[in-house]
Amino acid sequence: MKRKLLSILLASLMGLSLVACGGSAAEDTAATADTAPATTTEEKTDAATTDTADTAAADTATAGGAYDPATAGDYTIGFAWWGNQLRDEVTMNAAEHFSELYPNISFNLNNQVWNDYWTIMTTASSSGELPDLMQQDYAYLEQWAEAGALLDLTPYIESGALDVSNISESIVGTGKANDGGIYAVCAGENAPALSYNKTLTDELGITVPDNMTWDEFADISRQIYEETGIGVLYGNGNSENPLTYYARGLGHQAFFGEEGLEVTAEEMTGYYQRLMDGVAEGWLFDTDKCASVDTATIEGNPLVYGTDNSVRSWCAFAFSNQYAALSAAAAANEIELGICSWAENNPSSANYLKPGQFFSVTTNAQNPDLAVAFLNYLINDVDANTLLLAERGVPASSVVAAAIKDAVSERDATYPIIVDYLDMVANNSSPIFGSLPGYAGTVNTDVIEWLSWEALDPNTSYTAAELAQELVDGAAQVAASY
Amino acid sequence: MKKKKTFKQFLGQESTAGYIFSLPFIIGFLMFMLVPMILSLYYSFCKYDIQSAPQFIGFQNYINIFHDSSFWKAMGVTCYYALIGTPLKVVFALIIALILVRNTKLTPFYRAAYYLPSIIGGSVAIAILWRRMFEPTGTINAVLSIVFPGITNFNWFGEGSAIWVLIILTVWQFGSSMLIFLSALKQISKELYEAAVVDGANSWKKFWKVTLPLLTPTIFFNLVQQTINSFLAFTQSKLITDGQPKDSTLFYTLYVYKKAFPAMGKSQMGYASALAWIMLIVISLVTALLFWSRSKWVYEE
Repeated sequence: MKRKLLSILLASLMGLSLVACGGSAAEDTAATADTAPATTTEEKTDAATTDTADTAAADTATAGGAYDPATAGDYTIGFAWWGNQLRDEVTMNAAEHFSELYPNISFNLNNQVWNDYWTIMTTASSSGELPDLMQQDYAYLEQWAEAGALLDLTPYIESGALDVSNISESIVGTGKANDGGIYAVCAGENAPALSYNKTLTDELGITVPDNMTWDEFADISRQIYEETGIGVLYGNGNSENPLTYYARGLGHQAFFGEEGLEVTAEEMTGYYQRLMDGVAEGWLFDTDKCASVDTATIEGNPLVYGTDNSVRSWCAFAFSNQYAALSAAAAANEIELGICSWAENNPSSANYLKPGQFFSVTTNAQNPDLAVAFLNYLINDVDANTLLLAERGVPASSVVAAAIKDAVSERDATYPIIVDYLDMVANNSSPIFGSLPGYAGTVNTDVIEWLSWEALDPNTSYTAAELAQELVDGAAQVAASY
Repeated sequence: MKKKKTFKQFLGQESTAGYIFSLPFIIGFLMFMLVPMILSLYYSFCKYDIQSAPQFIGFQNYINIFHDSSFWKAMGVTCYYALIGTPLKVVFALIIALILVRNTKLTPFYRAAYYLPSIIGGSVAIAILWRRMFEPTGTINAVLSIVFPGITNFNWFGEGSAIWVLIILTVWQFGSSMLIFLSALKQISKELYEAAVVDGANSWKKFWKVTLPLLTPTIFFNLVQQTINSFLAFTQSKLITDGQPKDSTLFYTLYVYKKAFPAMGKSQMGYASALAWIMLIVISLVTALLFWSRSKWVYEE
């Protein structure tokens, strides 16, 4: 009897392990996939490593701030960011330069694409293995600060170890969470920006105006679609950005409130209606077409890559700091890009300057003083920012921004274009909304995403009004169960 | 009175040696399987976002799951994939095995060649290759447009057809089932066929009356194994389609993954754990159903 029991137990163990093995093999391959996008480009490296000496007129003493990294002993700084090939290159260069200044410091760099980045960081956070420094986003700052994963930088700012004296107070303030602590420092200024295929519009004799309304945008898109078959891939399905932008166009200051959305279903109906109209007219990528193209990477974006006109987009709803990387990818396919604001009916109310690409020191940092010193180097050091090519956006420090302008423009022809664009936005925009509540990310993945796929499905059973109602109800439900 | 065993005698025992040699598995099982399983069972009754401590909420996750339309969608997609893909794969493996059972000079080569996909089929490289092959301007459409001139730029990743891209991939990985069929085919004794010929059976009859009945235990084994594999398929869905469009390729495991490790927002690890336990129950039920059906169609000597 006992033996029989044992054999049954063993058999069930084996059965379980069969089930479990299948699972773990799948996870392994997924992990391999996550590290896959880290490849290199050739052209940018030499440009960045050549003479940085002449721009080093500004004091290198600020490089380490009040804490001297040379005293830290042998230490490996962990640093993670999301981005693209260009950003990976320039960030590695800046880190390398820091190691040259302080040979006792080495780096463990971790670069990911946006979607994988948050997955990996959340997992790392749960096991207390976050890197010392992580790139952070305005939208998720609150959620991460709430979880206790980020270090309050206020004492370092007060002691001067982190120098923010050249950054405007309002921009420093964007790194504040609800509890009043400053958990992130802005790496660069940024704005929503429509990147478009200028080669194509020039060929067709179309001028794309700044601050165009949605109707003008629809007219241009319709014309391009009719003449070439090239359509429009609209935004990221799982992002709140296009909706926030639309709500701002209606005059709202915020999209997410404490207990749900600040907008009504009636107001958001127009948003879904115009997507449905675009799909019905053919120029807007429908759900099926979105699924057949790569929307996750800059290099695979239908704006810059596509073997056939039917899977190309004439523009991309991106941010100004993606313009350099998009341009580099477009140049590889012999496309020249232009930049203008996202189409919206009230552009000066909708558009905003965004403190993009924050850096945060995490609570897992073993030597927070050193991590802050490195952060200070990234924010205030002229050499570092020359190496970074302002790829994350125009540096927040006005002194650094002025010091690197010529050097960066020389190396990256898109930089003056971005600076001009941001100047234009500064005069035609409204202040940015407050940081998002913690539940916003879940609204993106659980509500906004499926609604956008429904809206872009020509055979959907929903009307625009129903989708807008689902949006408002869904967000309220997520907020309630948060 | 029993004498106390010396340590040497203890080591000399057959059962001790057995336990020592199986120790690596036992330790691995306890640490990497049993502990996580117990934890996940506990988490399935909690609201748990990995970054802060789990909060016990009773059956709330399970109740929410049954009201979750994505859950039903994922369950439907996975069942469709398993119930269509598995039989297709097994039938395909059987047909190729029947062809390759004959001994010619090239058979060993073909056996190896057809086995290859099942080794590399789950890999990331194949997933990317598959995506490239089936994209609107990919190889598959290029070949199709030659055979059927009417078809141009068919969108394989559309709502109705995307799941078939994944089913074709799983059917293509028939190699391991094929090998099992091959060895089973070789074990069928020649005398049975000779007797059948004496009774006047043609090759069609020989297949239906001799080969197939004797293969049923093997078919059963392949069916069980492949069904479990299909329910646990993950890589293909994650890498080739990421569940798109409109969740039409959202495999159950991918849904669990997306809940546990979302691209944005907080992890819903408790919810994901509950989903995983529901899957365990479903797989157990399906497997039990297959075993129950065993007596109806499997021929045992």
